[in-house]
Amino acid sequence: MILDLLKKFTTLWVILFLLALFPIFTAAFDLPFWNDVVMRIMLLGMAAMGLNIVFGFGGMVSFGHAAFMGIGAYCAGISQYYGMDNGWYQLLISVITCGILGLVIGFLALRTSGIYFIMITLAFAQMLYFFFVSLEQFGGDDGLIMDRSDFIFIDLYEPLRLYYLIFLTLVFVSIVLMLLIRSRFGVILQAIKSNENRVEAMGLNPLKFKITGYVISAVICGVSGCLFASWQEFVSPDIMHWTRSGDLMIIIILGGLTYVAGPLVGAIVFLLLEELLPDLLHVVFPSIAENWMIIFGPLLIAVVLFGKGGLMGVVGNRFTRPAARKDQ
Amino acid sequence: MTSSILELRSVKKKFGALTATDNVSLNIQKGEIHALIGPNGAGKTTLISQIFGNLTPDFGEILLDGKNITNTSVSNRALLGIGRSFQISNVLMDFSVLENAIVAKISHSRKTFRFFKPAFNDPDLIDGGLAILKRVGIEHMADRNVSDLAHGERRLLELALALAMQPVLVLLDEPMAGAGPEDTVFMTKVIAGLKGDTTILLIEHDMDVVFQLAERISVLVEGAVIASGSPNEISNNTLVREAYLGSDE
Ligand SMILES: Nc1ncnc2c1ncn2[C@@H]1O[C@H](COP(=O)(O)OP(=O)(O)OP(=O)(O)O)[C@@H](O)[C@H]1O
Ligand SMILES: [Mg+2]
Repeated sequence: MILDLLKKFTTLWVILFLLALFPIFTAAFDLPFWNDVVMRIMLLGMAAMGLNIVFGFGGMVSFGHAAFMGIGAYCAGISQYYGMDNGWYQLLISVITCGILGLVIGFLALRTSGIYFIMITLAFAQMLYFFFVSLEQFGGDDGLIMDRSDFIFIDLYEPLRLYYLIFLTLVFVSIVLMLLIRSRFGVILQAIKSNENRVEAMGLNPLKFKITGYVISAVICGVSGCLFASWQEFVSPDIMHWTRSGDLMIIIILGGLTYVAGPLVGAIVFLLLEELLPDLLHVVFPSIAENWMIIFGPLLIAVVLFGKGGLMGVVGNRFTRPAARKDQ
Repeated sequence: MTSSILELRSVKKKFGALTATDNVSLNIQKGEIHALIGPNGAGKTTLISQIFGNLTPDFGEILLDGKNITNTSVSNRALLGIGRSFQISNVLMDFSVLENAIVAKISHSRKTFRFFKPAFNDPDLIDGGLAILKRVGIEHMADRNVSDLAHGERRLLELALALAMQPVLVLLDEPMAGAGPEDTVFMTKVIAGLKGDTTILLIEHDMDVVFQLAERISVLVEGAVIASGSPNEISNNTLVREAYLGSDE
């Protein structure tokens, strides 16, 4: 079973292995800043992997998943505001809150499809965004400065503890996805994406599976957000801005939406480009360095247009086979 | 008297001003192959869609084995034992032939909310899937991708899927449409072989096929059933000849 997963998801395991060793590299070359960058990559990659359950595997274009990251982050922030520092408790609260919210939003939004679904998920996300903007008690627009959460056995202020907490959570999420995507539930979800009518005619109620997928993806985004709060030591409505929902979708498409590892690959490339492109342009093209998006935008469009399976499609199997089957 | 598996009571359906189903009352007997014929746009597909639940009638009742299913969802009707093949091929295009059957088998097993064990290499599901394919004699295509299949082969797969849940009633909407002559002959044989196992409501334009297979025929014109009876009765019915078979024959 384990061996099977190792074989089927080679790329993902290789990436996880490199992420595990990365701090050795940064220590050797004295680049602690890069640990910070990679933590952000892992957190956004994790959220994108969560979103990809509905987006890539279920074919539901949800344009509001940053809201669940935000809810997760505020669960940590608000708990701490009231003196509840325990990180495990905060994680639990994030999971429960995002689960319930995912159920409610999924239940309402999944009655629609296509453009209406996109708009309704965006509308819910905007509602939550402005709700937190209006919560003056928790800083409103300015947000809430907080300490890293207290994970009892793990003191996040010790070096690398946060890094490995995030890393192990990412490993856990990866394993959940690898199993899920090949399970009966995952296969049905991909069948719904392929042809909802046929799935229904087979006696399966698509809504039940879509809602379940939506809840799982919301929970994963919530976990990411909860850890994001500790990483940032700060929570504000910005974390759930609609542009972040867009970023998550771009990350998925960039990496390859029919692959479990796709979103993680996408997060690595997306965030590294965001980090490196401005500096690079300073050297090569100083006049446009400020507006590095001029390069970044077309680059993304090129990948989306020409690499149909995203970056994973270039390395792996290009065709739109169900992820449940292909080696990746 | 044999008992009826499906009963339609004064079913009506309008699309705007167009009456697509005009007060249809119909009985399908258990075990028979019942053909539904009629010119293009007569409302055959619309009627089948109401039996399967894709459309809800504006008026009237639909009973399966005596149970009112007028407002039952498509998936629940499938679980109650109705299978359907669509006029336009409707299979899981991104999947292989066997994988299509495996999804059906998962549904048939009722064990759907399983999150850990891989499905596509589960021996029980593979056996179940192959059995579904065998029923229409396409187990040799198991490993092929649906997107690589010829049209007729896809139609056979869809027939296999319609039968996968071991339905008591199968609705076949022009199952041979677009298939070549060989596939049509093969498909006719397969459907003939189902006689007695299940009840079939067959929409078909090819009169040779209809007269080969059907024990009873209903004729639909402009949404209304104008005649219902044995193939002999239908071919001698003056109303049918005028309205449909063409008085020039
Ligand atoms: N969803 C719809 N909305 C509006 N009109 C419809 C709809 N579906 C079908 N119709 C109309 O209802 C009538 C019956 O259509 P239907 O598809 O049931 O005919 P049919 O007997 O299956 O024809 P064919 O032999 O061409 O398949 C047609 O005039 C069609 O244009
Ligand atoms: Mg039709």
